[in-house]
Amino acid sequence: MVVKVNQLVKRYGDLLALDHLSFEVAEGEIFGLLGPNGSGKTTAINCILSLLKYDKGDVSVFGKPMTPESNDLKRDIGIVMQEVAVFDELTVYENIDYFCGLYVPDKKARKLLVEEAIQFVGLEDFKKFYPKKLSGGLLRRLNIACGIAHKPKLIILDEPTVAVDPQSRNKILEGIVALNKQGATIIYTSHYMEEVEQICSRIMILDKGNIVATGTKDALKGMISLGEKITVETFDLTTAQVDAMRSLPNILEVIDQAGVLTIRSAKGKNNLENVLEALKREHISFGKIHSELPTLNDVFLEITGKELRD
Amino acid sequence: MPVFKLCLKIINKNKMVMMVYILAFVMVSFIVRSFNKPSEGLTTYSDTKVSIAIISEEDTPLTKGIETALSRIAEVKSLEGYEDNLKETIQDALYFRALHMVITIPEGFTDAILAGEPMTIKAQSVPGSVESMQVNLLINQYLNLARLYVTADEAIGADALASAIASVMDQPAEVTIINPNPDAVQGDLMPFFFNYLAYSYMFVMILGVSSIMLVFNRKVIKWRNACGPMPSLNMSAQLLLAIAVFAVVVWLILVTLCLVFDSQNAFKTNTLYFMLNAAIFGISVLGLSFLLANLIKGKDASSAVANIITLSTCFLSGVFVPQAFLGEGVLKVASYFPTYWYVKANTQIAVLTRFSFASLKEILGIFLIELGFAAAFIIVSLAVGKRNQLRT
Amino acid sequence: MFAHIFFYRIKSLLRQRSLVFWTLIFPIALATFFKISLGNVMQIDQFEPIDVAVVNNIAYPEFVETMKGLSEGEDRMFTLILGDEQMALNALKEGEVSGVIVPGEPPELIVVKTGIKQSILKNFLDQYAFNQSTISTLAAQYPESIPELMAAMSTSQNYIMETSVTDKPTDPSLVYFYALIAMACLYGSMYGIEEVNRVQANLTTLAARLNVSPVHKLKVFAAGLLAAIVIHYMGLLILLGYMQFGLGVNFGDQFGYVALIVLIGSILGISMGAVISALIKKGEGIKIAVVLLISMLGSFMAGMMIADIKYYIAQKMPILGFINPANLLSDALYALYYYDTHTRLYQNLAGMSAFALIFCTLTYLLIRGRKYASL
Repeated sequence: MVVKVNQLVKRYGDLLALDHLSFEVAEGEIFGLLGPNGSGKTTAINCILSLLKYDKGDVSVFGKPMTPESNDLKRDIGIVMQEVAVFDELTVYENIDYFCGLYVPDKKARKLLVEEAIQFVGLEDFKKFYPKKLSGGLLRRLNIACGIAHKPKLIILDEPTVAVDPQSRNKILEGIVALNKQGATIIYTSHYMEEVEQICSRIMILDKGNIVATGTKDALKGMISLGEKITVETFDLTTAQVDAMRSLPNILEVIDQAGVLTIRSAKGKNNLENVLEALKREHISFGKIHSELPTLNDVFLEITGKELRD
Repeated sequence: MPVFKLCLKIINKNKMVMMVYILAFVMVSFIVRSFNKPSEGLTTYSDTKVSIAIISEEDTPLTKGIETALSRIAEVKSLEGYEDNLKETIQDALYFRALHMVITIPEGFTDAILAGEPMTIKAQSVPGSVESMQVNLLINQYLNLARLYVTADEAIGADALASAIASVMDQPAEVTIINPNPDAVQGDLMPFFFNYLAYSYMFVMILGVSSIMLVFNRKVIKWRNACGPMPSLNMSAQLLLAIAVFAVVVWLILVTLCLVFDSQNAFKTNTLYFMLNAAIFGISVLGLSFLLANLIKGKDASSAVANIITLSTCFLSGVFVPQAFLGEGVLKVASYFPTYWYVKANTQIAVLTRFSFASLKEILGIFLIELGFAAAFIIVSLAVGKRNQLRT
Repeated sequence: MFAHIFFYRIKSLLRQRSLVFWTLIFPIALATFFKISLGNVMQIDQFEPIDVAVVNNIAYPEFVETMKGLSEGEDRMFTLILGDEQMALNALKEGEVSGVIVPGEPPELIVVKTGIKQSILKNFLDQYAFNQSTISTLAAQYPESIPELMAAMSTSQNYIMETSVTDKPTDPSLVYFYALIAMACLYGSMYGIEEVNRVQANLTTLAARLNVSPVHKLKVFAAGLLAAIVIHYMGLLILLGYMQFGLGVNFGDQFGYVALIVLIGSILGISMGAVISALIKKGEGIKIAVVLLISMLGSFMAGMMIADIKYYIAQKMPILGFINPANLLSDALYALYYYDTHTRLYQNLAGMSAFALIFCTLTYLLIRGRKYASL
């Protein structure tokens, strides 16, 4: 196991930030930590990194206990913090070189690594720029480059895409997958479920310091009673027709509104087939038809009773 | 009045740093006050007594006479018991101003004086000490009188000489200090506090006003305001009103402190003029800080500019060092700042004993100059503001 | 590794304009103002005629004549108003004259306040009165020597030989410059604040980022401190150079010692900032305000604005002088300049070193933890 967290408890005064948290991250995974703001994601990361004191539990990285003095372990960890952590007085190149230099003393080797990192995040044209002159997206990319230039085996990214434009965001996500392909294990926290769904091989959903669910995205979606959502573009339905749809098996809810019929089904097989047959049977003509699997938000909603999004 | 309210909020947020400077004012005032104990009545003329020590290598009626004469204007301290490391003791004493001067009367001094031969007394004094000048003068007076006696009567003995000089010096010029107007301010404390007020007032104003303007001059805020429905004149008016309220509050705080620290003089007519002068100075400082705030680009810069401008003008204008001591060139440069005129007015108000138009004429003129500065600053800053607007 | 961090800290610090401003530009500017405004204070050589009103009493024509004689020409001593008593007193009350002289035996001086001009007037009158009474006594006793007496009276002999306390030229304005150097040293605390901010994970994200790297934070801190000392010390040497060569401030011939004092002063200042930064958890602005206040107030009490304050404290509250780092610093400089021996200098250096050591130890105790209760 690359990371093993066992019964971790962290309190801030009366607030229980992490409540007996236990999980493992295996080598080669992209492990997603998903949860709303304040759910304990960053606290968990900081505890893993031995930055925060915790009240109970233990953390091991690469099979060894993690302490503030575990410099041999830290050497193989790359961290991209939620807030941009770069020196305003140093240029893009200097910032990456500085941080890389904390891991790689050899100058020649470092030079190659820094150049590679710059290429990797696509900041070739901005090497001499000071952070203040960079846009939000470019700044985030610099932040990432500073965390990964030394080619760590474990990369922890804490919300690296907050306030980033879609273009930079895609670039960042692609980069993370590429790093993973090169062999790095990745822990990725976010409150954007789409991102987590898109890249993570395994996902843990946190809420108020508790694990809501853990598993692959399909496994998570399989946990809940909800099946796919089918939307049909149609018009002028009679009440009888709508009722007929409602009477189909395994259907939870049917809404007919503004020429769109939304059908929510429970988990089960043949839901779409049943709907199609019913449409034909009821002589309902339709334009588009569209079927979606439940989202992680649905998962979160069903388990905690509230929305994942802010 | 949303703009007005916002301004007050911004100032409230920055009050900590400004409090530090007001606190500095309080502390300095407090120290100066305990340092300059208010004089007890003014009816007797007394020179500030300097501390001196006399090392006499001979003991004659003449040296005794000198000592007696000196003890009238100086506190003569003994150096007995320090003979072993005399040099260091003297250095230490002069270093800490425990003594202002040490004079050494050499062996054979009396004989030389009686013979009319040139002879000198060795004097070691605190460098540049004005107090020791008095001692020098007295010794020279004494010995020059001795020279006259010796000229007239070469056979005069030391005893006769000493007693003759003592009787002459027993009748010095009489000094009367009159208090021409009990309503006039007394002592140097009030003028000092009001002069020093310039430093704190200017600093706090520049910092406060620039913290407001930094917010309003931020490009995005400016654009958003420009797109809003409020006429820009209305906005400027609210802005100026807020700054004016700020200036009045700071004025109230500082003036109150001055009055508290020299409460003896708080209800004198001069004090009213000091307050008026400070208020008028406040208007020109308001203009100056408005101008600077329109030129300053960042928070770091604002504190740097506030420090440099405040300290430089205060130093050159005689806030810390009296104007009388400053060179003509310096004062000429300083006269381009309102601080110079403020201090000048204070100096004149301090010696005012009558308040007729004739005696106030010059001070009123200075007030007008200060107001002129205020107007100039505001006009220039409006022009700068306009230029900045066109640029963005 | 150490060198890597060290050189990057040097680069970083040099590029922080506000640091450079406070530790270099600001003291240089202040020193210049000092020079400009203090240049004249110490040598009031331009004597301005004193405005004086003399009551025109016909009983003392000689005195009035003497006064008239002294009020003529370019180098005159007085600017004279002659008139009756009422007019003279009015002029005094209006502030037109510094004093009113009523001739007599002895003459009387009427003033509204005491001051330098009033003292000069009084001395002049004393001299006049003494001479008059001496001459009249002697002329009665020894009429034959009147011509010699008149000749003797017209000259004045100086019986005082001013000798310096030290072998070096003395300059009272040094106190101001020394206090300023002390302040510049204490402004090093800004560097101290910065260095602690860069390694305490609960203060900045950058520091948190640093704490998860495989380098011990005390190593990073040591490298940063060294960089801060180097930069600050270089700045101080520039300041000293500017004062000595640009402004002509005389540091005596012991520049090596001055450089040593300033070095320890720099370490003292930086470590003071470090302690304050480690003690006050949040708010960069508060930290800066606190160090500015301590430095300013300390320099004030060391005599930066009013030199007498320093002596007042030295006499009345010596403890206060000894726990004031700014005073220790300026005192060390002044002692070096003033004394022939180095006893007092060493005392001050010992005090400064003790402070620096205490500050460093406190900082170490405060920042050695690498795990935080909260970030």
